[in-house]
Parts: sequence; structure tokens; C-alpha cells
Amino acid sequence: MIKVEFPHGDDILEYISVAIKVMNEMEEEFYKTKQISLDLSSVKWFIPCPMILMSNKIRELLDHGAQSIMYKEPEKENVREHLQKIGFPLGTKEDGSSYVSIKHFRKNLEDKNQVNREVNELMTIIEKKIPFQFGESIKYILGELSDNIDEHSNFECASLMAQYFPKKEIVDIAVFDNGVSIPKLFEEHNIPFDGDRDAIKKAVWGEVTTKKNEEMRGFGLRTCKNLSTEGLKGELYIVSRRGILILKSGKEPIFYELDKNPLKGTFIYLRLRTPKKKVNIYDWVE
Amino acid sequence: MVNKILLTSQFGNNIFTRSSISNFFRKLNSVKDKKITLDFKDVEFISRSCADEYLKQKKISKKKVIEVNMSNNIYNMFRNVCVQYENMNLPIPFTISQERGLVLA
Repeated sequence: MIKVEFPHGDDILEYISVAIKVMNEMEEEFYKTKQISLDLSSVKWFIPCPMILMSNKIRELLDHGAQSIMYKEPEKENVREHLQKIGFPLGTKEDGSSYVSIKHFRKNLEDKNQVNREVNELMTIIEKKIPFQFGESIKYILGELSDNIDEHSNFECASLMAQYFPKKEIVDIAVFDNGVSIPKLFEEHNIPFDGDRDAIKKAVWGEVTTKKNEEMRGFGLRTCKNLSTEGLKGELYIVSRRGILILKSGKEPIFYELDKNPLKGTFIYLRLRTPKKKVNIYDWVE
Repeated sequence: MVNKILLTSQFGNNIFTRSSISNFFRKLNSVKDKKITLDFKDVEFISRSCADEYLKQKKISKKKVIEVNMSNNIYNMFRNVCVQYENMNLPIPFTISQERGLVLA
């Protein structure tokens, strides 16, 4: 059984690292036994980001023929209850007053409007749970992120969740797709880059595009970066294959390269602070 | 007879993905009507990417497409994309006004 042990506190990068390790262990176990077994009994506290990653992997392995999930729930009652509420491990349609539970959707190649519709539904729910000061900023960010997934990732299963923490006045949003990672996409289009983190940087800074004769592309992610870190004084984490980019308000970007466990797909995690005044996105759109 | 399409029936209240726009125009280009009115009533948001894709698709469409009921938000996003074209010294495909919609430049 794969033992899940999260760090103390809420260091997002540490949680993500644990989740990616567990995901790889789950995949190994699946190929050996066709089963998934997770032991969360000692989890005392968690933030949304690792749960959506692990939940997506479970969904994927079930779709690939996993015959059963053995799952030991957290011993701590409030942690166990919250985990159930947010829809771990398989996702749920039920949402809480301050969170949008884990939502998965499988790619439907016949439905060209699928991502647009799914994000519309998510946005309708999120809007009711967050303060008005966010204005259209979250729509802008989610819109550009989902468009990138729709255009480039060729995912099997995409996952979304969001949570508003009223006491801390922050919103966490997690988006994961298990499709083609940014570095892999660049390789497929013969775009040179120096390590996976450099590929993420090139994508987020809008330095390159995989579409020919398309000078008007590349603005979207760059504006997301500026809006989330400067406009909303937030943090933006992007993990794609082995690369990690962390952007925080007023700080230099941080880049990492995972040495052992790559992530299959791209994970984006936003931690946004409630603005004092309503945000005007056009102050940030280039 | 002018065919009028309520965009919320196609996209919902928000327009987020380029593929939904290109797919919509593919359908639009296959209808018989030469003149089509697109009603933006209750469309609250269009992403920058979608506004750009809309302009590109409208430019290559053989239909006469007329926009009505664009809110300030929608108008501002289209205007913003047109300014980006200008800043990049690219030909601006349309002039834009809230009353007249997007008119070929």
C-alpha cells in the first residue's frame, strides 16, 4: 500500500512533490498488479493541490483498466470529512459554500465545445463563492489556461478545483491535464529549449508559439502571469514534465527541475489574494 | 430574411476557447443566409484569445456578420485586441464601435 505523508504547514511545492511521487508509485503499482492502493491514514492536514493530482491519476488508471482501489482514509475525523466533501478520490458534483470540489472530465473528441462548456460551468460556481473584488480576473486567467489546454494538450482527463479561504482571504485554483506537457509539445514542434523549466519559461513569457504565422498568440499566458502575481498579489505554480516555475508577487521567478519523478501533463496552481479594490483586467492586459 | 443567432445559446455566458469560436464559424459558414446577425445579449465575457480568433474567422468568412448588443466588457476586449494589432504593426482587420459592431477596415 502506498503511504501518503504530507509535509507540515502549507508549502505548496512540497505538497506537489509528494503528490507527483505518489502518482508515479501508483502507476508502477498499477502496471504490476492492476490495482491502486493508497494509505492516507496519517494525513493530518492538506491543501487542495496534491489531492487533485492524485485524484486525476486514480481516474486515469481506472480508465486504463485498474480493477480496484484500496483506500485507507485519514484517521483524523475532520480531515477525513473534508476529503470526502471535496470529492476525493473520484470527484463529485456536490460543492460546498467556499469550495468547488474536484471535477474531472474526459476528452470528447467529437465535442469541440467541451472545454468551453466545462469551464463555463465551473466559472458559474466559482463566481458565487469569491468576493466581487476579483472582478473578471479569474475568468481571464481560467479562460486563457483552459484555451491552452484545449489547443495543445490532447489530454485524456482534465481536472479542476477551487477553494476560497475566507479567513486568509485567498483563493486557490488548481487545473491539471494529463496530456502532452509543454516540453513535449515543444519537442514535437522542433522548438529548442534548455531543460524543461526553460520550455515553461518560453511558454509563459510568450517567447515562442507552436503556430506558424500567428504573431497574435502568446499574450494570454503572459497576461495571466502579470495579472495573477502583480494584479492579485498571488502565487503561480506551473509544473510540466520535469520543469517547475514558481512566480510570486514582487519576487524573482524560481525555476526547478525535478530529478526523479516527472509529471505526465501540466499542472497549474494559483493562490490569489483578495484585492482591496475591484480589479480592472485592462490594467494588466497587454 | 436575416438569420439572428443568440450567442449564449452557442457558448453560454462566457466564451473561453478558440476552438469553440472556429467551430461556430465553420457551422455559420455552411448556412444559406448571406447576412447573419450575432446577438451578444447576456454574453458577459470573451477571452482575449477568443476575441482574436473571432476577428480572424470573421475576416475570412464570406458571410456578412453583424454584431448587436455587445456589452462594455465585450467591446473592450475586441478593442484591446485591435490595439494589439496596431502595436505590432499588423493590419487591423476591423474598426469597432459599440453601436455598429466590428466593421471591416
